[in-house]
Amino acid sequence: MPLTSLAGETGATLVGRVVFRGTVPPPEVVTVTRDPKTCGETRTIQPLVVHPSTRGIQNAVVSIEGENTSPNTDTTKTTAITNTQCAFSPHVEAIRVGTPLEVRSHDPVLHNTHIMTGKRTFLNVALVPGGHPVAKVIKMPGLYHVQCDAHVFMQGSVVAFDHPYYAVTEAQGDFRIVGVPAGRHQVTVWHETLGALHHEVTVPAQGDVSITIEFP
Amino acid sequence: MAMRRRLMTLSATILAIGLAATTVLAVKPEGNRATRENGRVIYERSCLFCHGAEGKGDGPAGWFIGRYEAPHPRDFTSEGFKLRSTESGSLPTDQDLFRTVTRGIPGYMPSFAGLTETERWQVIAYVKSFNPAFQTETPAPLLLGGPAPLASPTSIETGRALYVRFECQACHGIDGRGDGPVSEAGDLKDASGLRIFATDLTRPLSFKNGSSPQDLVRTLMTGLDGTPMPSYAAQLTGKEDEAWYLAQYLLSLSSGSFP
Ligand code: HEC
Ligand code: HEC
Repeated sequence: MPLTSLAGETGATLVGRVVFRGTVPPPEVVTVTRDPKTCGETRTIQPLVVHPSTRGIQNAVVSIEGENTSPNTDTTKTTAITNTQCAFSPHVEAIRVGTPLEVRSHDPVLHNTHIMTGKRTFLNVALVPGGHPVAKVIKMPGLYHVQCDAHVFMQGSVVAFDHPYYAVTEAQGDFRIVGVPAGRHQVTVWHETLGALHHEVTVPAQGDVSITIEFP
Repeated sequence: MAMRRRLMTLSATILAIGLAATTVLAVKPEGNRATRENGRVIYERSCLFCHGAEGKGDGPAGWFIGRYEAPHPRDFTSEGFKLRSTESGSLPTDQDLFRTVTRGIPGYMPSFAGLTETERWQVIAYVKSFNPAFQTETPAPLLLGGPAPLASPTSIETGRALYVRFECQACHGIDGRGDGPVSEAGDLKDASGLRIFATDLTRPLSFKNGSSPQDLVRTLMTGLDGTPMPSYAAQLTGKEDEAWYLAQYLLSLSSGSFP
């Protein structure tokens, strides 16, 4: 079913929470061999961040399948990934096709922000201390993997959509997508280690719809 | 490693022969069906063995190149390109592909300067047909602006300071021997997830993207897509002199051993 309206103008709001009921695997502890002053002596890598009381998963990407390929008219918006203390902030980013993705660094050490989609490089740029940020417009929807080759424990993701119906879950696992057109929709949730999950939802013309999506 | 070195020296000779033939450009045939069809015949004779019938980089040569050894012959259908004059993440221009086919890739791919220029353009038209992105994207060369300043002890010293400030040594090592800590730790991977090594910068004849000052400035501006070698364009744009000084410093690393 084609989604024709623009988010934010009309339609309902889809709110919800993505939760994890299973046992969270222990984090991986990595010894830092380069730039420990900036990066720390060790890093604790836990891609599955589950809130202790809500069981909500942070950094899951929720989207509604649609055929709205209406061009992105908001050319003022930039989405940024910042290298800070040897991590990508945010760790997971969702972006609308047509938006510039800016990469920058606040760290006093060399990072290279290397973004791949499949086997093709989207961008691989050196960010030297005090150097310039780099921006490039994302033109294709899909999953982009972000890494720093100088510090291999630095990993991140960008998911690009050709429609405006997406959100990244917050610390308690919550998300909110506004302006959703009425009708039956397929909601997709993606998480970097848990993979993808689909969920049907029926949205009325106005008001809020609330859903809870459970992994696994 | 010794084996790899020998291979590189051998193809360095091929490279030197290849270069002589690149100066004049024949009229480039139109990128139409007939051109691609002529290109297919050349491809099947000269490239298929490594790059595979469907351009996926899986030709019969793979049987003895080793499945886990990088680099694999390029998969034209899905991968990006290392040797470009365009910004990071862009496709190469036709001229870039022509340069690659003419020079070859030291250590990994022979020079095809033996093909006529028309044949080289034909095979390039065919290679481009493997990836539909060549239909939709319009790769534009980066401007390298400004003539090269003369090399002097001061320019080389400035280049050395930039090498350190840009932390090239993280991967290439402080003496440029390819033994930087990140490379030694085995952390560097190519687009297929295979381990690769930072280039030994004291051996310019092994450089895939060429070793003239212009070639080196291009490498620094564009990076080598599909590898950890990043583009420094944002740090060098508007400071062309710095790019030249860095290139002069890199060449000074081999001035003792370089014929
Ligand atoms: C002996 C094997 C071999 C043959 C024969 C061969 N290639 Fe290659 N080619 C390679 C390898 C290996 C690479 C990847 C090198 C690397 O990634 O460092 C490559 C890469 C390339 C690239 C990509 C360069 C870049 O910018 O990333 C092009 C274009 C190319 N080959 C074209 C051709 C054409 C056209 C032919 C036939 C006229 C041909 N090759 C024949 C082995 C071969
Ligand atoms: C994150 C690691 C990394 C950093 C930082 C880095 N390089 Fe590289 N560089 C590489 C790798 C890996 C290759 C080899 C790519 C290949 O073989 O396909 C390479 C290749 C090269 C080449 C050879 C290209 C060719 O034609 O074969 C040159 C020249 C070079 N780098 C110069 C530099 C300079 C100068 C700097 C600093 C301004 C630098 N590199 C920073 C990883 C790095």
